[in-house]
Amino acid sequence: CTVRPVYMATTPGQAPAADLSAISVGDVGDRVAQQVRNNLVFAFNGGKQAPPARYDLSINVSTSEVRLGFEKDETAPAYQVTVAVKFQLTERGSGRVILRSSSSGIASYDRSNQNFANVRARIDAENRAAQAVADQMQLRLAIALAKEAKVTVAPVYAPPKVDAPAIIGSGI
Amino acid sequence: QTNPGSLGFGTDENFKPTPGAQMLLESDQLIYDYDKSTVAAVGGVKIYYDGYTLEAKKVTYDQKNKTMVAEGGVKIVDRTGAIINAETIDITQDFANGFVTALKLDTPSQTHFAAEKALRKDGTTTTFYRGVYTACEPCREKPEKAPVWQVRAARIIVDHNEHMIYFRSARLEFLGIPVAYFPAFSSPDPTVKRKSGFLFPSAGYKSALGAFAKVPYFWALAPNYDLTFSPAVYTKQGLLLDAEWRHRLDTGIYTLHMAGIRQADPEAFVEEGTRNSGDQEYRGGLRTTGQFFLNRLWTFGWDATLLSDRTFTRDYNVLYESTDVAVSQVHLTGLSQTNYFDMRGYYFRVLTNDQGAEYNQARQPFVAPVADQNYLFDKDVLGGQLTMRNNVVSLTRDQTDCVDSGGDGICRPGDAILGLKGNFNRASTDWTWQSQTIGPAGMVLKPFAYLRADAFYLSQDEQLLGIDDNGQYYRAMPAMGLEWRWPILAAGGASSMLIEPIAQMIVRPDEPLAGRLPNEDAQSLVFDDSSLFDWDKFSGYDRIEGGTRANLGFRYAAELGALATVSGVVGQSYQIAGLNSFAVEDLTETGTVSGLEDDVSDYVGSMTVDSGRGYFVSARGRFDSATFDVNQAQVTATGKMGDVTASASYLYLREQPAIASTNSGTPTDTISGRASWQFTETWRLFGSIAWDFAEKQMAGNSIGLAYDDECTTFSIAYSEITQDYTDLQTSKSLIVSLQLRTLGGTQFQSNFSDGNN
Amino acid sequence: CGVKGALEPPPGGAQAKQAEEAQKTGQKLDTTAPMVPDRKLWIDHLI
Repeated sequence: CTVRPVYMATTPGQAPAADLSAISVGDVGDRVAQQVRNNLVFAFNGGKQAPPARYDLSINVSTSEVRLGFEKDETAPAYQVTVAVKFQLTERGSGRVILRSSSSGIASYDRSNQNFANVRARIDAENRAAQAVADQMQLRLAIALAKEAKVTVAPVYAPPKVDAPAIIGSGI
Repeated sequence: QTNPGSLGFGTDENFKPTPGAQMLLESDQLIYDYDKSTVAAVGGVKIYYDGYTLEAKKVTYDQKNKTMVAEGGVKIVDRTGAIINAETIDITQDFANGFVTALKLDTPSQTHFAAEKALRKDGTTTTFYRGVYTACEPCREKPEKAPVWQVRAARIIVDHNEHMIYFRSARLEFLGIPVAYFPAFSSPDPTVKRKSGFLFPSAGYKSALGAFAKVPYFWALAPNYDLTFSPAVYTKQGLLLDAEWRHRLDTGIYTLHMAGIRQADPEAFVEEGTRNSGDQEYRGGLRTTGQFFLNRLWTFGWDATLLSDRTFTRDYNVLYESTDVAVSQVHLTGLSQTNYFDMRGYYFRVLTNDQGAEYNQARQPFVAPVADQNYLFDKDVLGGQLTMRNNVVSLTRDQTDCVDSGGDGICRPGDAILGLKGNFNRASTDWTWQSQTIGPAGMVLKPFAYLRADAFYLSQDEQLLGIDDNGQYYRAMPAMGLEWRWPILAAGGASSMLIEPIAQMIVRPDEPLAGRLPNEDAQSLVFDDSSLFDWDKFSGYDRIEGGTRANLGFRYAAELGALATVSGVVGQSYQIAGLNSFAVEDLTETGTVSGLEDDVSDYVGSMTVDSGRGYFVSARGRFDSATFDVNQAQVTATGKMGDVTASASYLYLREQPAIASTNSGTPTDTISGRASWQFTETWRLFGSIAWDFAEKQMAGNSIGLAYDDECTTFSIAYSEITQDYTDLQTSKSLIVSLQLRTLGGTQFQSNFSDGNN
Repeated sequence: CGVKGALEPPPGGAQAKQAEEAQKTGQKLDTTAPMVPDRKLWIDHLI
């Protein structure tokens, strides 16, 4: 099996195989989704201006919170926040789906008797979970693009697909 | 090109469908689209017609222009056995005719009428004599078997203009057995979306309230506003009035919901060990919510609840669900593609009925306002990204919330203080620059720097020794750091293993005024895999992490072919120089049991196993750096074995933090599980249990049975919370609910407690 | 008995007019959610 750093360029000096900066990320609807999107955009471009995009990443983010454990006074000692992202990476132009999957980030916070502290602790947990899921997605996308680069770099000879006889009308 | 008209099968020139040929159609779904007047068979479509078989993902028959199109991996085998594959095929007229006649056309929402005689009068009404109405599908194998429920009536009149169905001398039959008799009743046909009238009643029993029945009436005053009255009569307490007003404007919706009662027997709510909140003659509450769009970026909304006492909402279960706190807030929120602004006010109404001083209403703050702004500068600065985060808080509290360790109601020095009496104001700004480059051999280098500045204006009149809680205080925190990652992928065949070592170093001065300032928004501190690589591990602005710290660890992700993906993070954190902010004893003792209080922190690790076939286990833990004892563990798991789906969540905390108030210092060792077994296509058995290992007793359980098919949902569920795990008065409840699709549903709920009343 | 359905846009309001125009040109405007007014506010500079 092959062992290689994910971001090492196949030919030195050239952009690495898994060039994430060519990904443009779709729009989102709420604060946590925006955190995930900002984290991803930084992970792809490192804070620099992005080159023209060759891939489109659409993300669908859902945040949920669950109580952990229970106490005598009906409260829960801790809460666990999960940020789940369903995403799809497609190649611009051909629209071919390269990777379609879901990842989730988890973070928890301890409950205080002070409710304002709980509200702020939840926001912090959401931000940590959003960072965790962005880190996971960055690696999975890099691996997917690295596989992509291998395929186009040395195409394996594939026999042409036998098409249906041309006489069949296709579509109206 | 073939001539359009024939079925387009070049190889079988003389195709003529034999007259009266039967067509059989099979598909997952049949979808009627009345606007485009099309009928589509979707999902695994198979059509056998006069020797031809057609397979496709979707076959759409367009009644208007008489065309039929098969799409998605279409495969046609004709009489001669020739197989034709194509992406889409336009099947012409003759095939389409067969399609229509063989289809048993049902009414739009799968409801069925059958009758001995039907009379259609000038297109406006259809009257069925000795007819039967049901929303259940007739059983395919034995169509004559009675459906789960049906309404048998002397006359059923369907009025197509008014969209109403009228039943005369009707009998509701379950599995053929008559259950209820209605001389006459009417119900809107399913296409009606809004109609004034009585909604389905509900009933129940509660030990303090007696038996009760509630009959809601919905009054649709206009398409965009309406009123719902839900009066309820309680044998022990009398009449509860309940009115809900909903109003939709062009750019938003607001609601106003009020309920109130004059109780006949207030003493029924007296219970030893509680605040007897229900023991008063007049009780009631009001809740208003609203959500409006100001423009493409901005929304304004509120959710405010006003209550006469702590337990009104749970005793009569109206207006509010949760039983520990009613949060009222009003907010203005803006969201662009990368930036965010939110200004909000909070009022926390405590609903816990216990007598403990920590539940005093005066201990909760009134926050007006708390404002956050995240702003990301789109031009890159020095090759990196610059972000600005601002936060302003202003809150007041009438009573100091101290953790009474002695248990005698007196706050002694040394007790943790979660909130000081008086007024607290802080403004903070944080400017962060970060960049990322790919170094040699695929290494990822991430230099960063940030500057934080806070201004406190406090007038909290506790004047505690050594605490700056009166006057103005300022502090700043410059920081620089570097993060290094080197993800390496070992891939072979279907499985692959990824290891990403991560190292981080942050250089900063010590935390100014450490432990001397109140802590309102940074009380919770959970040191786990998600906070391991945070530059500032505190959860809010009131505390800042200082000194030079290094975080080391690695991320792993293994894809074991189709079996499962296993991923996680393992690591440790080191205070290399300067003051360890987590060893500082602040008012809320935030860092003391976090695992970061020593210069060499505990180990943290996480592992998530996702088999993609229904099994998902996520575990995270914190282990003592010397003895590897478990200081904290959280495990959540869900699984699907055949017809049984189960989920469980386990939590272990060696020592709860001070912010847990009365429970601080005690361990938590609890597990709760839930399972449901679908033993037939329609019947399901479900249950749950909650166990407390620390107290070695059961905290609660529930068991239930449910039936649902395409026209009925029925469930009966018993649940119990062990007496000392709830301050609720009623700890046992039985809920029976029945829903008949298109007719309506009802629910019977009875709560009783083994308490003293 | 009655049916407590979702609220519809205020008749004669701006959203209702938009829906009618869309109807004339054949498409169908989704009116399940309230309308988002298209105007500038001075607070837009904050984000």
